[in-house]
Amino acid sequence: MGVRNTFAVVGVVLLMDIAIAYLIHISLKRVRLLRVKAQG
Amino acid sequence: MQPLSPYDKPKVNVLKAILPIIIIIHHIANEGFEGVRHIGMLGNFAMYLFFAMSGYGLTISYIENRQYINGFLKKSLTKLFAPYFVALAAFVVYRHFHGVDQVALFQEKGLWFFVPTSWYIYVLSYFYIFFFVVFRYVKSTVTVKVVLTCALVVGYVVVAPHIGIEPWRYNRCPAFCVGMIFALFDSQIRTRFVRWQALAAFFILLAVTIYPHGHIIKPLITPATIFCLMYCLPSSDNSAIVKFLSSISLEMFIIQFIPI
Repeated sequence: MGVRNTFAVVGVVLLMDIAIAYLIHISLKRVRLLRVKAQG
Repeated sequence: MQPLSPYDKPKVNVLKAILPIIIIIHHIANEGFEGVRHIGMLGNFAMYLFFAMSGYGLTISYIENRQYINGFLKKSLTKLFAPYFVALAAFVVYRHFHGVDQVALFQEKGLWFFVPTSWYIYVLSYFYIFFFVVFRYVKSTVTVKVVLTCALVVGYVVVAPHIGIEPWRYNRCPAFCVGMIFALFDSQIRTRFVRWQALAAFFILLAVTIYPHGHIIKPLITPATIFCLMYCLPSSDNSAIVKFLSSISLEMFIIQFIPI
């Protein structure tokens, strides 16, 4: 496997990972905020 | 002589931002991508640091604020398991679309296999429970509490191989104790030593870390090496990207096998 391909794979995997992780993070943050609001 | 710099939040954030990326590259290298093998080799060191940072963070938070232990278990387990359950759901959906028979998978391999990085969440939750029980209910000095928690962690490491737990689920765990010990002696280290001494300790420990001697002392030496380095580096504010990556580091770690 060429070095260029490898770095492309690493870049794509990292970007996808960051995107999914961010989605999970903001979803949980939103849930926490809603819970705090509901508790008054 | 320059005094030691504290191992503070911006430094923790830098490590939290970098470590999941190293672990992801480690797993990509394991898939046969030789081009990143050298970065990938740092993956094992990253796991030692994750455990050490947890041990350090819990102990230093307790030393700085004794009320930290009140409600600790609920808060920390929620922070740990909420992303895990979301990741579990994501993995179930992902495997569903790939036509995997998940009932058979569950019966054959168990829940551990569903999220491949879940072992870290489970192990860390055991250590959180050990920490909470000891620091909440043992009426003694912080030193005794640290020793007792370390004894429980070592107990896990000793018992784990006898109950069929794979080596990579326990052989990094002693690093947790190193983090706790550094937190316990943090103020003494920073008042008694200066920067050149920490730098000398860093290079000596680095030489020992690089020398191939198996897994027995690596979980102890590796985090100690990085802690010495952290005491040498000056503190500075984090950039926005470091703040962002450190805020999602646990999620990045848990979910990594979907993109991989």
